[in-house]
Amino acid sequence: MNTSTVERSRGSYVDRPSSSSLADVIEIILDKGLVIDAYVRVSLVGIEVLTIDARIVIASVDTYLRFAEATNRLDLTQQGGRDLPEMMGGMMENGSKGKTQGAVEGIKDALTSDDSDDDSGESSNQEKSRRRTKRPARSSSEPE
Amino acid sequence: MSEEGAPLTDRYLYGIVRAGAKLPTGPDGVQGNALALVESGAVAAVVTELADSGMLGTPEALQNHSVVLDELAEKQPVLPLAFGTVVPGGTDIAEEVLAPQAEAFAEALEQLSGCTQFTLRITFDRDAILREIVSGNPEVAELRERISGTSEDETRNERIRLGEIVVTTMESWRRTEAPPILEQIRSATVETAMREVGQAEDVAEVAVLVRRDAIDEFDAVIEELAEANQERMRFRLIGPQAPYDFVPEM
Repeated sequence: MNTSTVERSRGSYVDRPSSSSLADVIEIILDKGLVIDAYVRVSLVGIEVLTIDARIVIASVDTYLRFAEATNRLDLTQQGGRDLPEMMGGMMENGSKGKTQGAVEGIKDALTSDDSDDDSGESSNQEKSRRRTKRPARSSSEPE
Repeated sequence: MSEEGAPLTDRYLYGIVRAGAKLPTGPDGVQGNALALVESGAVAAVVTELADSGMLGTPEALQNHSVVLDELAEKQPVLPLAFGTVVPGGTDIAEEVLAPQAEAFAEALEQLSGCTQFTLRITFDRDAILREIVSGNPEVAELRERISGTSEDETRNERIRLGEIVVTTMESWRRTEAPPILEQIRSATVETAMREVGQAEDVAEVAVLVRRDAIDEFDAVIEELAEANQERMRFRLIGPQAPYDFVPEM
């Protein structure tokens, strides 16, 4: 049926689908609602299969591989705001290794995954760098 | 109280409304059949006659079910029934389904009166978040270099490690970033019901009950949050809907 997603209407930052997609409907209502005892609910075989798809387990190897590929394909020079080329010290342009340190040095520990509790000092750096990435989503990535 | 001339066909039940409710004219019911109202005292069931109740567990039927309920909910309170509720032909719905719980139904409808549900899903913008992670984590940047130009088989372990860091980073950011957002949402709603997030890039998924006369204020809060987070998150707002997540226990 209708899965159209209305692109942001003028001035809005919120996606408002004009009608619910099947995925929305499944997630939202499939197992909800009043159950009237004594009346049989029909079998939902086809839909239950879809439901399982919709609720992928987060920590699976497939998920990891998918994100690795997305990271691989990520175009750091495009549209990333002008901070990235700066921060990466131009590493991406020539593909050379070993220059990752430098500017990113200060914030690396804030993001090393496993332990998010001991990063209080450095997460503020992280906040700043995030904020700086704002605004000119499309502006050129010329380093200044 | 009992239903005159209950049909011999099976009937599909969508939800419970107040007696005298207006049926929407737009949507077809399941299997393309018309909607009807069966009343009992102050409450009524919205139903459709079924030619073949064997063919009900389909995606189309699920969408019919939700469209009918959402349209009903635009004008009046409605208690959604579980998808797939069917009563056999000859059943006296008024007497057997409605009458025994008429008071509880009426009370629940009263509670939901004047409110409508929305569902909000907030996700990280994948590319923006990946850029943050690559630029902020040297190990990720290095792993990314190593898998560049290789096949999945050649660098499977590096890829798994890379993906794992990305996913756990998003999880830890979700844990710190979702609560303040949800706090603001709570302040603009009557009630909220958190849903479990299912995807790695999900920040939060929440159903909210909003007073109809406060929808504009609610909308402004969501809009403000979406704007404040526009570089890193996407906000998707579905509704108004029937109050699927706020049906009282009975």
